[in-house]
Order: sequence, then C-alpha cells, then structure tokens
Amino acid sequence: MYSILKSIRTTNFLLAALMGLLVYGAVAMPLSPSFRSLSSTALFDWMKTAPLTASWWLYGCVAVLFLLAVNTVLCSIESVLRKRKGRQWLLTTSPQVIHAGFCFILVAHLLSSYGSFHKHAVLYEGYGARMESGVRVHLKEVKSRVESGHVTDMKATVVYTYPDGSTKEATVSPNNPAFVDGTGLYLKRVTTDPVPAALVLFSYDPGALPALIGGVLFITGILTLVVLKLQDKDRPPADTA
Amino acid sequence: MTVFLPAMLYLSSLLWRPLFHAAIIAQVAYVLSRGIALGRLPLVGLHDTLTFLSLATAVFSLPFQRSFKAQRWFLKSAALLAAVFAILGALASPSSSPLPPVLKTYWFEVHVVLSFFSYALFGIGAILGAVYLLSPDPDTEALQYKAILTGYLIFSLSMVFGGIWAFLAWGTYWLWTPKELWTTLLWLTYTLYLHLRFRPWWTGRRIVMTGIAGYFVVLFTYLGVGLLMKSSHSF
Repeated sequence: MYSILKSIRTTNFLLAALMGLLVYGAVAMPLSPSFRSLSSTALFDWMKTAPLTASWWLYGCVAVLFLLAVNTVLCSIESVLRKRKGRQWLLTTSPQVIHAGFCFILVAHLLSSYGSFHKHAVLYEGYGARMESGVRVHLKEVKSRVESGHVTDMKATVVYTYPDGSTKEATVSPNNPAFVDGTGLYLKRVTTDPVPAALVLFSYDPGALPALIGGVLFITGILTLVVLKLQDKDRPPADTA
Repeated sequence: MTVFLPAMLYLSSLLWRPLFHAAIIAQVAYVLSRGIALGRLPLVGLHDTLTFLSLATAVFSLPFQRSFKAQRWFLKSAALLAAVFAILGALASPSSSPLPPVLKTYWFEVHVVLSFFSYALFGIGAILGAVYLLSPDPDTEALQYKAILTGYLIFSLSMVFGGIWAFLAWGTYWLWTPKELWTTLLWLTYTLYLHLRFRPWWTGRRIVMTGIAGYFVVLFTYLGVGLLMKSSHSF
C-alpha cells in the first residue's frame, strides 16, 4: 500500500482522474441551475444541500485531492531521503518546495470550503448594516464617473462603528476593499438614481493567506527548477519526482 | 490594411525568412499604436488578445531558432501559427470602449500578459512536438520540454497574480466558473506532462504528443470557453 501511495505512477493516475472529473464538472456546471449559488456559498455548505446528481464529481475531486496530497507528501519524503547525500541539493529541494506550495494551496481550498462567506447587500446613503461581528457599517457617500455611457470609476465612503462606540472611516472602490476583523467590504456597483446607494459584498475567506503562501512557495520552487533545467541537457532520471 | 500587414509579412516569411522579423516589428508598432490610442494595454477582447498572442508566439519562437535537425520546419510552423492568430485577430472587431473599473488594475494587466506569454510558449512546445514527430530527434524533445517548463512557470505566475486580483476584486481567490475550471484543467494537463516525463514508458513520441495535446486544451481554455460558455472572463 505504501509503495503504491508514494509512486509517481499513482500521481499520474490521480492527476488523470482529477482531470476527468473536472472536464465533467466544467461541462455540467453551466447546464445545471444548482451551481448558481456555488460562488456565493462555502463549498462544503453547498455540497450538503445540492442534489448528489449535480455534486457527485465534487465529492470525487475532494477524494482524489486527498489521495494526491498524501501521495505528494510521501513522494517528497521518499525523494529527499533517497537523494539527501547528493550534491545537487537545489535540484532535490526545488520540487519539494513546489510540492509544499501545492499542499498549502490545498489547505487554503479546504479552509475556504469550510468557513468562507460572501454576502451581497444594498446600502443606501445615510443608512447602514450590521456585520456578524457586531460592527455597524454606514454608507456616508457614493461617487461615480460615467464616460460614453459606461461607468469608468466609482467609490464609496463608509463609516464603521465598533461595539465600544469608536468609529473608523474608509473609502472603497473596485479592487480596493476595506477590511474589519478579516471581513472585506467590496464595492460592486453604485447608483445615484433614484437615491444614492451602493451594492456591496461582505466577504470572508480564511483560505486567502495560505493560498498566497502556497503560491509564493510554488513559484519559488518552479523558478529554481526552470533555471536549473534550462542549463541541463539531460532527461530527468526515471521515477524521481 | 495596417492590421493585416503583420499577417501578410508572417505568411511571406515562409518564402523569405527576414520578413519574419519585419512582421514582428510591424506588429509591435500596431500594438503600441493601439495602446497609445486607448491609453492602456490593449488586452481586452478577441482582436487585441489574438494580436497579442500572435506577437508573443513570434517573439518566443526567436530563442528556439537555433540549430537542430528540423529547424526549417520549426521556423515555418512558428510563422504560420503567428500568421493564423494575426489573421483571426485582424478579422475580429476591436473593442475600444472604456474599461470597467474592476479591470483598471496592474494585477489584471500582469495576469493577462503572463497568461498569453505562457500560451505562446505552450504553442512553441506544440510546434516543437510536431517537428519531433516529423523528424525524431532528442534535442527537439528537450527543447519542447524547456518551452513547456518555462510556459508552466509563467502560467503558474499568472494564476497567482489572477488569484490576488480576484481576492481584491471579488473577495475570493477562486471563483466557480467554467473558465477557472478549464484554467485548472490546463494547469493539470501540463502538470501531468511534467510528471509523465519521469516515466521511461512515456519517452519519445508519447510525451511529445502529450505536449501537443496540451495546446488543444490551451486553445479551448482561451477561445472555446470564452465563445461557448458564460464566465467571469470574456477572453
């Protein structure tokens, strides 16, 4: 069992299986109305309520990714143990840095799938909403610029009121959210007619930081590997990921 | 006429090689003029992205234009691929409307530029694969591997930047849309290619054909998903 789990043949089989499931999902997703709420719901919450006929491939992906994570860790340990006395330590460690990045990205998706939320709300100028943490957010002002019938710029000023009565003002615009207690406030749309108002998104994603760490590790590892491989004329030795 | 000039030069370079460089210069001039006219990087819509892909394919073929067995076929195929994208780009109508606010960020520009750089390198990998099938030579296979590995690095970088941008724009680094799934599929395809290469059974024609197959996933992810499916990405 251990030798199967650590094998690169298993890696290839699992990657192919994952690709098969994702091809099915990519085709099925636009065809089924069940998936419309998926981007606004944490994955595991969505999977609990979605019909199995629509979500089965996602259960498959979770299972394959779990096996792939185990395979990645075992493959890395095996490779480091086998080559620890070799001289080309950068060539040995860079794939393991890539694997570590991949594992961080998987952990990120796991955290996002469990605990993320994304809720839209319409805030009217002069009025506000209460966040789950007890902080109140109040829309102070909205501004937008229209050119040739297209909205080319917009921003909103909001005031946060904390439970202890203290306040903080923030300006949000597209690509420039404001954060309180890890929850981001994103400006999606503004209108001034009939009354000034903003469509905002409250979003919390616990997987964002691990995903960033994973991305940085992945890029660091592969950049090192590319530099080494571009100088190298040999094929990689068999079965040594 | 200006818009068709690079395509004509790429096609003419099949007969007289120096015109390939003239085509690149003409295309750089066209892209620059579009950028100056729009006041931003011209990377929105089919016209601009196909033109950019054509240019990137031609430019990234340059480092691979060195002595190997079937170099002649490589040069002609790279010119032909650049010409096809340039013609398709010229036929598509350019989008000159102002950018929506969410696209006005360096994260978007870097994400798109790197994506097309990687697509171009995957294209070079596919051409080198086809050349290997015509005339099997380990050097050509090694060049295909290097093109794909470099493309994989740039594509991964593009995905990381895309994730950062998505977090800042939509509150999450991952969106459940067909484009994201196909992008993941594309990344998995080349991940599989890089891992299959470790297996002795996959040497030669098999691994080369996997590299070629990956490019069909690139084309579907770029053009197929944009044209056939509703997504967060127009292209």
